[in-house]
Amino acid sequence: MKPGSNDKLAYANRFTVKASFILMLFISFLALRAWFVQIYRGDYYTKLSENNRIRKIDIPAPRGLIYDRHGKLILGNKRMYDLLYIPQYVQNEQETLTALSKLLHREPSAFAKTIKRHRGEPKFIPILLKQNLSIHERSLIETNKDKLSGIDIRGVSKRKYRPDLPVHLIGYLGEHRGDSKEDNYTYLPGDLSGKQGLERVWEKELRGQRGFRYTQVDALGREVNSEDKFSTFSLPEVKAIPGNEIHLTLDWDLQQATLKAFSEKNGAVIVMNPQNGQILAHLSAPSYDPQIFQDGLSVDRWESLLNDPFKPLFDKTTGGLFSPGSVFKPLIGLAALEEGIISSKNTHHCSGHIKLGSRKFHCHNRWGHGSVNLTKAMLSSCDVFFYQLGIDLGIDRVEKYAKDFYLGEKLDFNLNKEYAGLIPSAKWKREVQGGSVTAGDLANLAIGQGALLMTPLHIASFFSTIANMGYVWRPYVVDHLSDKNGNITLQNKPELLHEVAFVKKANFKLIKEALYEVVENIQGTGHKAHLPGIPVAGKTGSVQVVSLEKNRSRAKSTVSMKWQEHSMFASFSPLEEPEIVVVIVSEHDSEGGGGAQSAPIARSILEAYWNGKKTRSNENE
Amino acid sequence: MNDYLSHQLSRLNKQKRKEPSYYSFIIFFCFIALSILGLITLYSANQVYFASQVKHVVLGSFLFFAIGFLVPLRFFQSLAFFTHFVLFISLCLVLLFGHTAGGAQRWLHIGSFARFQPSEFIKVSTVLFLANFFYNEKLKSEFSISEIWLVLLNAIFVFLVIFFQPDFGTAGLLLAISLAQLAFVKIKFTRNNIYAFFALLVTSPVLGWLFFLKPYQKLRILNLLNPERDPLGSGYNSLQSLVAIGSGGFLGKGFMQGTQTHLYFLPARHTDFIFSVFSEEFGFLGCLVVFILFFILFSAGLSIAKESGDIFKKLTAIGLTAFLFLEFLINIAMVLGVFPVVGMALPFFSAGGSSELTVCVSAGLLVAIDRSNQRSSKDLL
Repeated sequence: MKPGSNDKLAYANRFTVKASFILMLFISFLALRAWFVQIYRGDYYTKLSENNRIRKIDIPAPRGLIYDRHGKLILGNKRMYDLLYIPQYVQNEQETLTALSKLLHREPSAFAKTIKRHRGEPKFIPILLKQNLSIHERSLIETNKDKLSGIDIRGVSKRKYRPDLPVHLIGYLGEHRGDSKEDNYTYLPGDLSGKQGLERVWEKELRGQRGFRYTQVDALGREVNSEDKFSTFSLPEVKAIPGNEIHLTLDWDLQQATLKAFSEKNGAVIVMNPQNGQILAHLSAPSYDPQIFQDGLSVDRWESLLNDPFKPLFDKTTGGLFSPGSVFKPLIGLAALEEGIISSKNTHHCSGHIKLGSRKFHCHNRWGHGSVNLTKAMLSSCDVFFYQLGIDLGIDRVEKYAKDFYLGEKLDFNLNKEYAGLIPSAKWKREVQGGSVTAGDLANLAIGQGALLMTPLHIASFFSTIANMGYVWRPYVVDHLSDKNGNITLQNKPELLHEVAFVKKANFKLIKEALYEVVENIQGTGHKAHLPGIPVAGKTGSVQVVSLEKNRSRAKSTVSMKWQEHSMFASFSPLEEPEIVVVIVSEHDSEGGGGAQSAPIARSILEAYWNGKKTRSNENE
Repeated sequence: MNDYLSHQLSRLNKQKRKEPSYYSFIIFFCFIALSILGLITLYSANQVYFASQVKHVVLGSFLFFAIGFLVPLRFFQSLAFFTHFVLFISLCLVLLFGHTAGGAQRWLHIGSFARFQPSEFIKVSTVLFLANFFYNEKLKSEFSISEIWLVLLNAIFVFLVIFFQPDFGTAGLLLAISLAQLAFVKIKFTRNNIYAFFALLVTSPVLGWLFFLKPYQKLRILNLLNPERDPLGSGYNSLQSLVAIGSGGFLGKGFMQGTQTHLYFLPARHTDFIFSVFSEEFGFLGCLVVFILFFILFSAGLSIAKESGDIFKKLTAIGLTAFLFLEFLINIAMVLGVFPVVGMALPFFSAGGSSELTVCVSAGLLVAIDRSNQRSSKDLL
């Protein structure tokens, strides 16, 4: 007997006949169900499919809101309405466009042109015909919906920009380019994404998650009441999840004061807390209107923005490279003190110039400052004194102290394009310019000119380090993020980038006192930043854009604006336990030197800070 | 293996080949008819998938003929254990390294040119494995649970390894196929077995619900129990499917005329919901034709099982018929809105290489069993 062929014993033909019946039963049930759906309820479903359509409607998520440190709303949203054209639902293109142009008083050819550009795309993708409809236009279209098959109005949440916004910090929105799919998020045609500043850096947090709902529409694309049609199915709806909120370290009142104080100037202002690196105000001027990007930018408008000589699109706080000018002198002073080249008592004689080789290096005061010590040199910003210190220090030692203050390194601000700046060294000189460092190079470096380049943020960081006597904090502006329920999803903490190693606290103290004199002393170059009752320390600077002789030979008023010197002022307050650093960089604004133009701006900002603090403490009491 | 093959082939050549019975021709006819209907429907549903599916059908037909009419059945029987073992290992590999699509790991890549779903092919190998187990247990009239532990363990492990992909539909299907085969074997249950069975029956759904089912799977079950609660769109799929089928009416809207299909309202219209496309375009009449073709196919499969002389052939025929039937039943019930939306392909219709080849191999094996039956009945004479 063959193995297994013993079915008579164990495996009687159990069920094989019954199984056939079971199959028959199941298949009959399916056929019955098919009959029920296709014949008995056929008309009902036919009607649904032919006269009625289910349309999926996207619900765009509102972008996350942005608040200042006191919970004041800086950037919000508003509801706007767009006019859409959905080819799939259009019955007669000509008719629709003619009706539309009559209602909106526009040439039908303008609409036809837009539609033509989208030929070849799937027919169910809506085409944007017009943005930001007025209430009047909306009501006109709604009441004439029967003549406008395939025309739809979509409510979208858009950014509501206030005119006094720090645009470079916040950034702008533009049509999303590049990958449409990104980490489980799909950008639809016409979707916006952040292009600069916080909007770009925090795009993933701000954009939220789109929702959708299904609605029943008739052949004209009109929504019909779906209550009675779907007795057994409710149409699904997924709510949009708004983007996460950003809470900044920015102080809005101070920002306003900064904007007001800096009005009609070009350049950058940074206000930060030297004890932790929190940015309190941030300004790059001139600015631009972010609204025009949101509404779609014309080529002309874009080009005029790009070609503007004042570079309005450009964030100068981290991307603008400037010679720091006399603002750099405290570093030379500190290095000289630390290396024992001078003490607080040593004096040099300033005759108005110094002769290095065959070249004469002038002091800004042609008649000379006479006998000056460190404090006197600082408050009168005597160039000759610092020329001498620079030459005595030599390039390597200047570089050592600049590095120790984290200059020439990126500060990881993580906002817009950030430059590290340039601290010239012997190696740099050899490789880039050729030759070795001359006494002239050193003299220039000592007064913050020549190849030395710093961003306004660097200057702020540098003065913070002087103010807090040795700590380089990473500057940051985002304090925390929270979701729509107020749960904190990310909390930023102050981050120590570097600790100054080569400078003693006593020498920091000496320099701080010298800087205090610059503002306090009636002869100080920064006296215009003086605040009665509140100690302010600071340093002025004016930076030559072209060689000194060129300007000196002309009367001030005839000097073309682009040849005028930059006016700088860096300051902190108070002297002990400073809590605010203000840096002003005003481009081509040299009328009367750094002190004359920039110091009063810093003064108003400092005043606003202390007033604001007083008001808040009063309120709390 | 080669010796065995050459021996079998020489035996085959010596033997005067008996013509296949008319069951083979019925299966052959259903195979051709359903494949053509499937391709026509897919052409309407999605022309991108159509092109690659033509290749799968050509390859599958070749397999069907080779298995059904050329290679001896015993060859596959001898391979049963080995094939099943290899597929089980590759399923474990899929869990570890597989290609993820749609939130589940189902594919295994071979080199850079091909990928396949072991969970499809294991449907056939499980059937062969179980049948072969009983074939080797000679002269037993009845089995106790302890004697078939290997079969039960195999069924549980295969279930688990697919369940965690996660692919609840296929895992459940495999379990059901094995149970269908076991229904044709006499098994002696002790009282304890029955208690244990009921305990398992009660606890496993509870444990599964609490620990193993994905949220979307729970949602689908809840949606079937109560279509009113329907927050996330699986109800939307069912509704659109019903609108498509229902609007087909008696005669259908005609080939390529389905509005639901061509306006992209229908989800997964080339795979799980392809029957909605068919019903929309060919109506109730078309549905009846397809149902009848499938019924004839299944009946032929059962008849072959009935005529089979030995237990391997019988259980294999039962298992393969059960596999085709269950996929058909679950898929159609799903698109008709009387079963939860689970990922289940419709044999001969749904696009997909692995599933198409599996179906062709199954149909081929049924023919091979029939051919073998004719020969053994001649031997007995």
